Amino acid sequence: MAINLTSYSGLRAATFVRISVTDYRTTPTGSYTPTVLTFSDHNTAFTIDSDTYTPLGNLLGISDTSSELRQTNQDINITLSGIPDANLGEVLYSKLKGSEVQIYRAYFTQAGAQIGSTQGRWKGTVNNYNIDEEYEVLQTTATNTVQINCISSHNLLARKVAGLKTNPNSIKTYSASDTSFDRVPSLIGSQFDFGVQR
Amino acid sequence: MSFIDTLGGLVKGVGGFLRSNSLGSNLAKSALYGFALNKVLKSIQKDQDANQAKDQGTQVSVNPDPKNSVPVVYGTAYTSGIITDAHMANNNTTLWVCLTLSEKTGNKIGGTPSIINFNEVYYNGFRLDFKADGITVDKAYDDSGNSTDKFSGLIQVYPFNDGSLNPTTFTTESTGNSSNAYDIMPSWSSTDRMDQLVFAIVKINYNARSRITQVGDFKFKLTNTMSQPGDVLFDYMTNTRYGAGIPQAEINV
Repeated sequence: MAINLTSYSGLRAATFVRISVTDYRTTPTGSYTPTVLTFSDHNTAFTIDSDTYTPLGNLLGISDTSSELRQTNQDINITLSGIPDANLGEVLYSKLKGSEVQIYRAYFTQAGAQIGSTQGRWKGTVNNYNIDEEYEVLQTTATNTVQINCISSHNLLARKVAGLKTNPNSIKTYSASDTSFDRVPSLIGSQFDFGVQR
Repeated sequence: MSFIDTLGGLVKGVGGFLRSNSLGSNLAKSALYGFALNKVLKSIQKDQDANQAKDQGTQVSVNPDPKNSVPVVYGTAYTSGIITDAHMANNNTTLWVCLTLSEKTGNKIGGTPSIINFNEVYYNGFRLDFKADGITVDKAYDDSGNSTDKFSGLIQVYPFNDGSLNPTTFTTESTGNSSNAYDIMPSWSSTDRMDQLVFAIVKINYNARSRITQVGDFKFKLTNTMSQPGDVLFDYMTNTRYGAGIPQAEINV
């Protein structure tokens, strides 16, 4: 649903990122728990669907996407800057790849009041990530930048190959102990003497 | 007068009788010709029977491909299926074949399960009709509606519409198969479940006169109760087995 912004002399836009990590942990040996990570480039904490988005301001960057009427297969990069070493474990030890990513956008007046409702902007899956370290020699500290590469659901579906093939491995992915196709490999090239009585 | 002289006289008498043009002579000649012709025909038939007994059968190659994808049938479709198993039995005169026809489709948008029905089966272009058991072929019909008995009793078709535990019946028949697939197909056991598959087990008896010497071309007419475009799209989007696997919660229906 479109928001009519023509009556406003000035406005601010904020982006909200929601990453649903199924296998999340902060230590190398801890157990995995499902966790939802939420953050935004807004200046104050903001709640969408009962999830509170931590304000990161300029520390969060999201690459541009083109706004199209049709579903696009455009990938997107989320950059999280200024992450101290102590918090890097969340990225290193959690299974971030494959996590579901949702990005919302909301508009605010200069005074900070939201205009209209929150809009869904992009949806996809974490495809890859990389970490850049910035070491401060004088202070002997390091801050890190985490870039999360996300692939859109559209692209993911376009690459997906589904369906059952007539071989033993394929049917066992759906029904582990099903032996129905076990004889297919041995039948390849084999011949039957049909009608030859012995 | 010796016996030989008597016999010689008799032969001469018969020869003379046959050479004459009397009515009795002509009738006797016709009878003799008929007898001789009958002997010749019987001799030919005997040779043919001997050749039949020497029938060397044929080499049958089923050659399944492990890269074949199992089709998904929506609405009404004719499909030949994919051979996924074959077994020779009964002294090489009976060939069992498993033809995998379709994936079993999911629920409609309203939650009603879809059902795939077997309507008809064709063999080498002939539509097959069944005996009272709903399994054994009786008559076969060509495109013009002419019937033949040449496949009668030689082919049996056992349809299943949701794995080995769900035998079904052709919609044209009042009765049909009620046994599990692994109780029918030789060499199968309870682990041959054909999970969520629509398939048919076919029993073919060799018969050279009826030209049943190969697996032949089977074609099944299937009708899926899921035929509305919305239901089909929904199924294809949500099915985790052959579809996109999109969670239902993310689809606004």
